[in-house]
This record gives sequence, structure tokens and C-alpha cells, in this order.
Amino acid sequence: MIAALGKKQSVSSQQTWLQTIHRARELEPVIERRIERAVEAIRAAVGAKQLCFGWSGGKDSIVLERVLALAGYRACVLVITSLEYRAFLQWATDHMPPRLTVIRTHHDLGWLAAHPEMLFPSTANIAARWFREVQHWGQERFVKRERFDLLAVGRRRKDGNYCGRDGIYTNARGVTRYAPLADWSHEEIFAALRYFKAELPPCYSWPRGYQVGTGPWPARQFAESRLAAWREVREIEAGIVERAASAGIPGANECLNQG
Amino acid sequence: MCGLIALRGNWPRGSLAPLIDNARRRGPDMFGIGWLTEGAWIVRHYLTPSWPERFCPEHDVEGPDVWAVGHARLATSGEPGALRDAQPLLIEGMMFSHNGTVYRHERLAERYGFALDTQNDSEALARLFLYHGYDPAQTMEALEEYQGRMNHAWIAASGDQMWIASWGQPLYHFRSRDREAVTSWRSLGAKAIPPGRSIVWNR
Repeated sequence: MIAALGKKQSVSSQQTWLQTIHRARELEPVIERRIERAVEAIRAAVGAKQLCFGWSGGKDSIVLERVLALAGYRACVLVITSLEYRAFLQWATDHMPPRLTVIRTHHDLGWLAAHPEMLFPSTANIAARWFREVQHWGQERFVKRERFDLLAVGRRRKDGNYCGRDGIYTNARGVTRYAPLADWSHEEIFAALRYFKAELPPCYSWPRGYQVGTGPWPARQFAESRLAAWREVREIEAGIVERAASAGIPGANECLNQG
Repeated sequence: MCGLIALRGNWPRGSLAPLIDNARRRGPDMFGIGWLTEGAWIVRHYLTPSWPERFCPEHDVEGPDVWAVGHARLATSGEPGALRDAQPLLIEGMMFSHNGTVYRHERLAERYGFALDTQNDSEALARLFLYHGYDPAQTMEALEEYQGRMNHAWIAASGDQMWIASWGQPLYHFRSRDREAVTSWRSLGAKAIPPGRSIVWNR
């Protein structure tokens, strides 16, 4: 029996994640049936409603995409800012689902300079604000414009996400989210990725890649310090730090000066 | 992630708007359209508002003999708001729209001695296509030799010929009695162009 990996926020070690991926191979004999049950559950939960899903390019949304495709659902939305890693956008270009709509928000370096509190969130409130202003804003726009009843998301309890009762919940703005993978473990996600032969975006090979996942670079969490976060960003894409320093973003210059 | 459009034939006023709406879903940053009129290319580029805010370009494409290439861009190189990097590109009399990524495109350009006018990585591919004499297969072979197997699609038009190349990025072909379109998304009656296939239109 596999000892399940805990909440991702507390697991910073890439080595631990890689061990989890290796252990997930033990689920190979059972993952197909797990996927089939998920498809059955989705069809039962959705019924005649119109469903779309949020696609972030992350490992959970890749599995979500493949499972929902088996259930017959393909319309999806990706919400991005002007603060994305170039390598992620390039990967997304090569791997985007056919029926994806991309919505870009107004968040850019000028916005970040005016909102320095949003840089490398050190509290859950600030992290939640990133999700509200970016993903939730864009997803709501898509759902309401296209008149979908349900927005499926790759949220899981193992990531510390609220998933509602039975994986379905409606927020104060009237968007009903459905988390079909709410009770999936990290190991099951990795086993499904292997089953689908899915390619992961480059972020998972970056510093603390599995802990941080996808998302705009300033939303990077759980670094030891602001300088440590800047060093990670510089390691991933040095040009970001240079441009941020030119825009007066706090700490960027310090990172460049330290070499 | 971009939306490509190729049009030929009889297209009435207002045809472009719904095509742009679909193209913008894949390319939210800017839209460009190039069309041939009286033997010369005209190209216009626009920054686009965030979908689904309404966008209508100043110039529509209409008439009995439309010959046009369009592009809705998601910027993966350069700045999202830099119109100088917009497509379609007009390079040495060829209109060029591309969906895909050319990694380290500056190095590719350096290898072949191309002088780049923009920061758009697609320009390197456009010049590679010109270098190989408008041959899609040779161009892809050279590109794959440089960066490995990746997904691309492009539409290139020069004079009275248009090359539509599908190499893994989706392209769909619609045809009716008096008009044809190729787009990056499936519409009613359109058929997928299989990867590795090229279509050549003669005006």
C-alpha cells in the first residue's frame, strides 16, 4: 500500500514529489477503472447541464481535460496575465486543447508596481486574491458569456482546496464549480498522467516546481524569503528579473546586484 | 496559441466579424488582417480588448474576389502589446501567419543569416520558408532538424499563390460554391486538414 503524500503546500522537496511519481506506478493496474468511475460520476452529476472546465496547463487540469473528454466535455478556458513565464506560454501553445478560449487579464508590470503587496504572497489572503482577480475573474466571464451551468475545475482536497459538498459549490457571484477529482490523491493524478501519456509543462522541473505549479511568476508562494523567490525566478527566466528591476518592482534590483 | 484565417472567393460585408470572434479565443492579444487589392498587399494590425469585449476592425474584407490572411495572436515572444510583432507578417512580398513556437528563434536566424525586423519568433520561420522556396516540407524538415518535432501551422501568400501547411496545429478547411476558408477552429461543414498536409490555393 502506498503511503499517500500530504498537502502540496507542505511538500517543497522535488525529491519527495519524484518519489511519489515513482510510487504511483503501483496504481497502474487500477487507474483505468478509477478513470472509468470518474467518467460515470461526472455524467451522473452533470446530467443535462452545460459544462465547461478551467484549464491551467497544470497536472491536475491535464488529467481533468482527459477525463472530461472521455465524458464528452471539451469547452474550456485558460486565464493568463502579462506576467507569465515565456516557456509556459510556449508549451501551452503546443498543448492547448482544441476548444480552449484564452482570456488575458490586465495584470502587468505596471499593475504589479502599483500593488507590491501582491508580490510573492506570504499569506493565504493574498494568494486567494490572485485566484480571485485572475482565474475566477476570467472563468466567470467565460461561463456567463457562454451560458454554462457548471465550471469543472481540477481542485483537490489533497491540495488543501475547498471543494464543497460532493465536489460542487456555488460562490457568491453565482458561478457553480464542480471538482470531479476532489478526492483524488497525488499518486492517482500521476498514475493518470502516465496512463494518458500526457506531457507536463516545464514548470515542474523548475525550483519547487511541484509545490508551486503553474501560474504567474509574482504569485509564486512558499519561498523562504522574497530574495529567495527572486533567485528562483531568475533561475527560470532571467529576463523577468531584469524587466521587473526596470519597473521598480521591490527586490528585483537587489537580486540582480547580488549576482 | 493563435488563430489563423485564410479567405478566398466571394465574401460579403460582415463576414469577418464572426471569424475574428472565434480567432480571438485562441489569440487574445492582437488581430491582424492582410488582403490583396489591385496587386498590392494591405495589412492592418490592431490591439484587441479582452474577450469577449466587442471588437470590430476598422477595415472589413469583402467582395467577389477576396484573397486574405488573418491572425489573432497570443504573444509568446516580445511584449503582448507590441504591434510591431503582430501578424500577419509582410516579408519580401509574402504575407505570413503562423501558429506554433520557434524556440531560440534568434539563433535560427543567425544560423541562416536572416536579419530580423521584429521580435516575433514566427518571422524566423517565415524567412526559413522563403529560403526554402515556399516548400512546406523542406521548411519543416529544416525546422525539425533545428528544434525537434513540434506542432506548427502556417498560411503564406505571395502574389497569386497561397500555401496552407498543417503540421500538428489544427487547421480546418471550409468550402462552398463561391468561397473558401481555412481556420484554426472547426466550424460547421469544415474538415480537418490532416497533419503533414499542405494545400496550395491559386488565385
